[in-house]
Amino acid sequence: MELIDGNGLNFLIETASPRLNGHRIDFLVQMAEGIDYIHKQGFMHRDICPRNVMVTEAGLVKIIDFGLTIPNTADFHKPGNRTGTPNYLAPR
Amino acid sequence: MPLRCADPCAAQSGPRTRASKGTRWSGTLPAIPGARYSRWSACRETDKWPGSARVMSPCRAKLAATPPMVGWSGWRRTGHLPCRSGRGGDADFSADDAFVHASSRRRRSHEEGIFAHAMAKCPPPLGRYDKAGGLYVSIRTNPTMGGVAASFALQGDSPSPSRAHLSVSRAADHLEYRAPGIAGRVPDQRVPFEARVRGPDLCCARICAPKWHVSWITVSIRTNTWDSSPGCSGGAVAKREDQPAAHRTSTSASSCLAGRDRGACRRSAGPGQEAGAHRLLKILDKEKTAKFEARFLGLSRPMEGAICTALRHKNIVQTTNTV
Repeated sequence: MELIDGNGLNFLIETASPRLNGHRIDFLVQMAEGIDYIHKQGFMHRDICPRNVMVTEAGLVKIIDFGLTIPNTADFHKPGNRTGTPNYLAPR
Repeated sequence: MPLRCADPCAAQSGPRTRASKGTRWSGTLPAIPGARYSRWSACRETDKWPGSARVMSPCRAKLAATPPMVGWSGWRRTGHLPCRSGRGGDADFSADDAFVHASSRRRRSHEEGIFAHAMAKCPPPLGRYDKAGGLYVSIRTNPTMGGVAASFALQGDSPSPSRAHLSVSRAADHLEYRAPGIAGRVPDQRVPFEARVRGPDLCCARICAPKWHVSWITVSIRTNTWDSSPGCSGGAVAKREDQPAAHRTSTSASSCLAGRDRGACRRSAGPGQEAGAHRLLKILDKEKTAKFEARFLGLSRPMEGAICTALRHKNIVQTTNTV
């Protein structure tokens, strides 16, 4: 896969990077666009968290790590089949 | 928990050779899940190498007197084609994977004897391993030199048109074949590759996320083993990534390429495979991946690589060359 020349969003948050200043909404919009595209392709990422979001030096957001991704069909949504990063799981 | 090393000679049938009569080594080796260990003596091979017994005996005595973790190479493998030649590791190759975690630490001066033999023993099975389509991953720690470098760590750098290999180390790691202490004692003609390689010009890598079931390695592809175009050679050398020290961790030796993703490294030339390109290699833990996949038994869950390849969006990492 491509090399992303940047940092993880978790690193930017933990270090209170000035790169976040004034770009939070932009990053959020880019993340939403990526997630929307994933859903339109029939998949669910299931592990969206700052660690799996990279921000390039140019300010482009990249969603990574599709290890937990599954097709968005009923067969894959079984009770108890819960996964992801605990702090970022949906409350339901 | 470190594993206690069993004496492979104890289980050997038939009359014991001179090399197998030594005192049983009761040292410990670092625990690598799934790895097999044996004493670094060559039991069966000793019979074929009459001179090796005399060489190995003093080396074994030195190893027995040293604390654990002094020079070792851990091998992660399945299959057969045994080649017992490493210190503390079984150099077995198969079509599945060979995952090398090499470190010489400060012990290097006594290596030249045994590893002169190891150097002769490793290439043949490695050649068969190449033909079987395996990927050779070498994780080098600091320092990696001497026999460990010659026998294991730098084998992946040997020019081979068919060899798929990945060699990774960090910027400050000290990599060379011949340490100053043994300079002049090992003839250069024994070195099957260019000696004295060192430092940030050679390789470096960023390996993080060791606690989860994936690890990331940033590499700079400098070889045609990922590219079918002729005329190229050399090793797959990692490229330095400027990351905070907290994000730099040594890889888990239990990590290895998941079987079905491993083929990604053997594909022919494709988009973005030009020499010198920077790519990211994802290394999966087989056990954890299998545990996750077990949730979807009976369902046709696409492979992760297939999913990533199908997604083409500016806000999603681009993946190439998956199977």
